[in-house]
Amino acid sequence: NMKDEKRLKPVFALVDDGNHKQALQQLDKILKKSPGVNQAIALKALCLWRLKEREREAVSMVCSLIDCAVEDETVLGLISTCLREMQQYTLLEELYTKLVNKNPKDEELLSALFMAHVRTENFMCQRQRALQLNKVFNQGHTDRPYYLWAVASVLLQAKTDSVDGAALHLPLAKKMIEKSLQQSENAGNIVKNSQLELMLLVLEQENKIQDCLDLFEKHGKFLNKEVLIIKRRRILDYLKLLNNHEKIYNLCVDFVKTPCEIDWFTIQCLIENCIVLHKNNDSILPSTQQILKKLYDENPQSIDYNFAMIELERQCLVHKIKESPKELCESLKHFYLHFGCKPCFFSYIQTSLKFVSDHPNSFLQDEASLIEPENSYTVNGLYRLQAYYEVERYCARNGWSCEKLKEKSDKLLHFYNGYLQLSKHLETTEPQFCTKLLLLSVHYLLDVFVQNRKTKEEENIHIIWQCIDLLEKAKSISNYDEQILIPLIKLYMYLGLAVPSTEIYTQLQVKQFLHESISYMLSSRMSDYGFLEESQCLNISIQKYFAESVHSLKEFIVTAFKNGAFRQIYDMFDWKCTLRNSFTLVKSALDRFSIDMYLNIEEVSEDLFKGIEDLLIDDDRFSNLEDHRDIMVMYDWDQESLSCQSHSVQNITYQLDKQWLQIKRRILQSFMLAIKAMLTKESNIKISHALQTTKLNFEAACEQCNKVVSDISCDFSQVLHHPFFVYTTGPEIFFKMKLDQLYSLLFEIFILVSHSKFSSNCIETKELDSVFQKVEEICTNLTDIVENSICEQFTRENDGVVYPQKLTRFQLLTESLFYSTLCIHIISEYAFKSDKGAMKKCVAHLLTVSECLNGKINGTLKSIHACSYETFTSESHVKEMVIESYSESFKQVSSFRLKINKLLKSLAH
Amino acid sequence: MTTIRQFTCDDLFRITRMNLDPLTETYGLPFYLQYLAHWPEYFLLAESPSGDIMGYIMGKAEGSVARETWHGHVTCVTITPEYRRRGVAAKLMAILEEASDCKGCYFVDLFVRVSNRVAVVMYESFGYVVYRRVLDYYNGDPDEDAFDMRKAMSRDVELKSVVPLDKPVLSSEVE
Repeated sequence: NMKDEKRLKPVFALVDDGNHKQALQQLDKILKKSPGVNQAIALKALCLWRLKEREREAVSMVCSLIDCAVEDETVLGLISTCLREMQQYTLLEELYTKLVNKNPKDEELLSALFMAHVRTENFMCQRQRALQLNKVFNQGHTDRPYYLWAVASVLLQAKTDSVDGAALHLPLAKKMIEKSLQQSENAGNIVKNSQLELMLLVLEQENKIQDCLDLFEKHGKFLNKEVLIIKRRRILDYLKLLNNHEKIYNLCVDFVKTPCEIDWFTIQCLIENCIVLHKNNDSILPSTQQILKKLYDENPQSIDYNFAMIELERQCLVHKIKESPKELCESLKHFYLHFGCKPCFFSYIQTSLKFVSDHPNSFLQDEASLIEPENSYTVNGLYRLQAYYEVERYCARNGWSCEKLKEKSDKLLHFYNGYLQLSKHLETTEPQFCTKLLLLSVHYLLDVFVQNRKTKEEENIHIIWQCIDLLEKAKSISNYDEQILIPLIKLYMYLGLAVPSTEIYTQLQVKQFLHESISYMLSSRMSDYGFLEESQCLNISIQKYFAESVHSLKEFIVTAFKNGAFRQIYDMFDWKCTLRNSFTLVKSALDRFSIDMYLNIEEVSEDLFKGIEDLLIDDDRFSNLEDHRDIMVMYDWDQESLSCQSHSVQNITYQLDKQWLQIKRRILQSFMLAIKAMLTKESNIKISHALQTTKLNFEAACEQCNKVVSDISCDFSQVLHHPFFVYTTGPEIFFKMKLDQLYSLLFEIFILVSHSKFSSNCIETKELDSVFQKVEEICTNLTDIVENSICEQFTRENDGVVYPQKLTRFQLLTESLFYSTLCIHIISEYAFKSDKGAMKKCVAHLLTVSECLNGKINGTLKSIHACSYETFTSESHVKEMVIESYSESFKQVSSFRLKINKLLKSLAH
Repeated sequence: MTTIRQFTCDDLFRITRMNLDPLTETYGLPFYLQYLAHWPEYFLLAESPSGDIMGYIMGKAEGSVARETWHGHVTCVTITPEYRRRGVAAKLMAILEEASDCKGCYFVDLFVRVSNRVAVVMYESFGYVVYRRVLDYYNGDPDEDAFDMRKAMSRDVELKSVVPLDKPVLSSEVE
């Protein structure tokens, strides 16, 4: 009524301003006086949801109002908003179905119902509603898109239905869109872009590419919203799919006649198709050379036209049309002379370098001639010098001695310091001109580190600190340059220093989707080094980003429908799967659960249990993973040189990470099953069987991991031990693989105890005893493994220096402790229940294992904590962060150990 | 010379380096998706011959034909440092203008910080003029004024849309 509306008006204003807390207070007052005001209830639900308070209550409040929505438009609007934000799409569908049944001729409600179906991906209903809308409301209003909505719905059904998609839905979609086009043409209406786009999508899905091109030709004003350059690209893309090389070539020759409209894609197509056609046409190569030369002659200032000539030379070498790189060398020489002063010079020629890597100096100027006199440095001179050293690093450092590498590093540092004067006028928020010189210097130092990795550990750790010092100084001059910040994050993480890494990461202002592409640098090792809380924060923000993204994608698919942007619907639909299949997402979920287990081992909550179980059994999520890390985000002169055969650094590290994720999954799964066996009162046969299957899966994952390792024939130490390649698993994978024996034994124990619990009701004590005896044997083995196998990986203990290996050891010991403690916990449950002496012996053995691990962790932590890191860095704020990092790590792991000790004591009593 | 193509969802994973630049704003994902769903033809990406991402432009078309305010708007144009001063921004802007012309827009406009002289001069060289000054348009400490810069499209034959206003306007007066 009017009175309620008047009282609610300021509340609506508060909600609109995002002042939900205050709105909630007002609403409580209103509802106290008049508890039945539906608008107030709906508003309260919305506020609670947005404040993330009492979310379940908010959902049930909205559910209780669904029936009232039919009567009140404002309540309907509020409920609709709530249900969308709460992602209760099925309820939204139910709500609008009810409303439409009551008002079948209401256009707004019907289209809202259509959109509700879009959110639940109910394609069949989408089509029905769209046709209904078209039938009722499109009489005389041909501009309404309802019929096209129906076609797009059928098309999406065709795309997603692997059984009937091609045979049933696709032909239907085609028939429908053909009818629509025909009608438009007969009525003399302009054929719309969205109609044509849908027709193209149908034809593309049918793989009828020639028909797509015919459609382009038929409609002269085709896709009138698109600009020339995009239209051309689409034509060339279709022709590429048809392998119509001759037509592509001729078209490109035609296109390049108007130089102002040439884009690189056209030049690329011209070159690629010239190479293909060359087999049957000897004259095409010289004529293409002529075309490119003419373009360059007419535009001698253009780096791109000059580069086009180089690209043609390179393609000739790739396809073995030419054997000698002599001409390429000549072209590069010219290119360097004219464009060596461009900052992008190196990225242009990078792919050509492998053909001339034996003689890079043949096309570069003499080094000495590049060195400008001090006090007269120029930006162009700097870029030319930089280009020289980039090429040299890429091509020539193989086989260099440590001395030579150090000498090169010093030289580059000298130039860097000199050229800093060019940047005096720049703000600290701007990148410096000469950063690449510093980065090259750091890279050379790290080459020394990698070369000395096995022999001179103490000296080596100084190198890492030296690099950190150089980068920290550069950061103080240019504090937002990501090319300085990213290597710093990597180096700090390499040393297990989460505090400075996190601080710099925050400085990068990584937001939203950037998480997906670069958060791996931080999340890869944080929890391993004992930073459980920080790691959880990162995992939570990554998962939040994914959840919000998938939600907003649904809303924008709805928007795209409204705008007739059908191709974008396709793109967003695919991207939803891309997000869901993200390796980062699955890994962060697994990590988050593992850490929750760490922190809640005394009592695993039902929610946590269910969450872990749901994730672990979802085979699809683990088999369709996609890697979205952007490892090219950092300037890098090593990527290609470290790669081997067909394996890129991205591929190598991803393959290993993926296998390691499977291993982790199976280990966590075994614990979940063991806990389930412990808690359940019913038969354990199924669990025992599931454990055996998990064990087989675990073994298969280990085997697969070993296979990946042996398949990749390059020198792993180059890739995985490089401090800049801080990937998810890194070198630890090799150490962790040593734990497989330990894990196998734990599996055995779980299988035996879960079986014995079931059996204890029906088998003889003798048999039970033999089971326990077997467990005891395994436990003895376990002690041996922990004592010998793991510990022998690390030989130097008390030298007071922080070695990354020591951190690895710390991480392994913590992990083993966690697993063994869980094992004790589980076995003790049986031991006390069945009160068997043999079982108690097993527990005693496990206690020894755990204490042994505990002692070793303590020792390792102490030696890390007490190390003399002060000697490594001159930056005082860095020293502080180092101390803070190790103290924090120490604190968090100590608290975890205290928890375990408490648990052990309670078991002993 | 660049390869220009429409921006796709997957490209969001590839623009990390550009968006880490402190002067390039990283918006929430819904912001990008909104542009993709509404104005895909205004969301374009430039790739270098070596396959690097050189930059992108994001814009929209809005206003009223009846009031002759139907126009293209440049929301964001950004170029990787290595590829600056190469005419990439000019190319992207030209394509957006072409798309606006195809849509029958009267003009294309953009907002720029008054302190960003480099950008103002660059837009002037592309044919844009300062149409008006918008007071306190950019929030911050302190707030900063913006120039609303415009370039007339072929539909605005008499160039009515680009006649500069005498007085500055408040940000609340900007549509």
